[in-house]
Amino acid sequence: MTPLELTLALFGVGVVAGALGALLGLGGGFILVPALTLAFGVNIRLAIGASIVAVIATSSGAAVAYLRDHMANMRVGMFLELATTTGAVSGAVLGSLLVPRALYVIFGLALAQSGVAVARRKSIEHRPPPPPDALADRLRLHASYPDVARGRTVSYRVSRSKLGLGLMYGAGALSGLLGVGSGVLKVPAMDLAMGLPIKVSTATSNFMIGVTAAASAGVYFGRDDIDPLIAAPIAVGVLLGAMGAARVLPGLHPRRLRLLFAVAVLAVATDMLVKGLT
Amino acid sequence: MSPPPRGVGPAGAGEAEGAPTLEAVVAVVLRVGVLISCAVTAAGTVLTLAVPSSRRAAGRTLPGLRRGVLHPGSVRFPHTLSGVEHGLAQGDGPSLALLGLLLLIATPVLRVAVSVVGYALGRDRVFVVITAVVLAVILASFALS
Repeated sequence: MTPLELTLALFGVGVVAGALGALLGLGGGFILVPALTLAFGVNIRLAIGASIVAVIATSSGAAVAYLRDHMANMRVGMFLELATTTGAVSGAVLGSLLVPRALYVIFGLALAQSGVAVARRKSIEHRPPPPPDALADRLRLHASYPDVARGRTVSYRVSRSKLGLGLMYGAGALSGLLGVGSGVLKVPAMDLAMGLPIKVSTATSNFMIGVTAAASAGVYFGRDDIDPLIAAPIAVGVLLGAMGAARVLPGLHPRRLRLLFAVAVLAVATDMLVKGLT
Repeated sequence: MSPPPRGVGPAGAGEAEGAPTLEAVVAVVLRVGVLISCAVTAAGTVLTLAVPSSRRAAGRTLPGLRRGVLHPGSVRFPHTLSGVEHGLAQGDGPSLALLGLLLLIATPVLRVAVSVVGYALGRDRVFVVITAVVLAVILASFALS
């Protein structure tokens, strides 16, 4: 492979990872790390360094359109970032501890279960109204978004915001501890616990992951783990892929998005189970 | 930047009529950050491929990549701000690409900082505290590393 071919191949991988990561709110790391290590033979540390940059690129690239189209709920995102950032710092501190294998198995099973639950969840108008939440009222978290696929504006009320905050802290800590992207936990927490529509959940998760990733990117840069020759073409590809996919989300049917999300989560869960059992 | 349609904005209450919402301002910050970092990163990559001396630097990586043994330290690239600065002064492509990536990393942090100011201007005290704490945690994690 010539340098030019390699650069173009990495760019292409970035476009795909950015597009899927932006749609699902997962940041694309779940595609990039295996792709770089298995297909390109990149060392795991450099692959993770490139992937953390790609998560920031996905988040910022898609967030422009998600904010403009009111897909991402910025107040919910900011509120939950309180927990994800502190959780990420805790996870990084705990990361030096030896992680028992059983944790991977438990986590893999819990993840698989939540993926299935997201896929089976009824659409927002067929659910009983969520329990009232005084904190969500006080913080004015409720909002609405225009659903192009259904041709109307969908209003939603945010519920169980304290539980959501706790889950987000756990998501941040676990992702630091187990090296898994936190989006796979954030989306189910917003969708299943807080009652947000699935599109708002993935768009808001996408909005949030950039901040958490930026906090850890400094560490990777200082540790010499961000190789510009690998990370730069990927970052440019991811930005373009994410910006393109962000235009697709409003027109995507929620049911399809749920299924796509479940497939991605089940893949991550399988990876966790394999890590724990082998 | 067009004003958002009425009644669709996520909790835009408290915003003056006609004034841009904080969402719109944050979107502009992100767009500018993304466009600049994308252009600089792409320029650094092109420079790496086009300039013979940069390509030699890249060549140290690529044979290693083919053999599947690419690991940290197999190629020298800057990992401090002064290292990037030094490389830029010499017109080094990888250093320019790294500068673009650093701008990309800085964009979400800038987004939080702008939100603190935005909520302060909107007199949304609770959210000023929330975003200020988030900003402090991020900056502390940078300082710890």
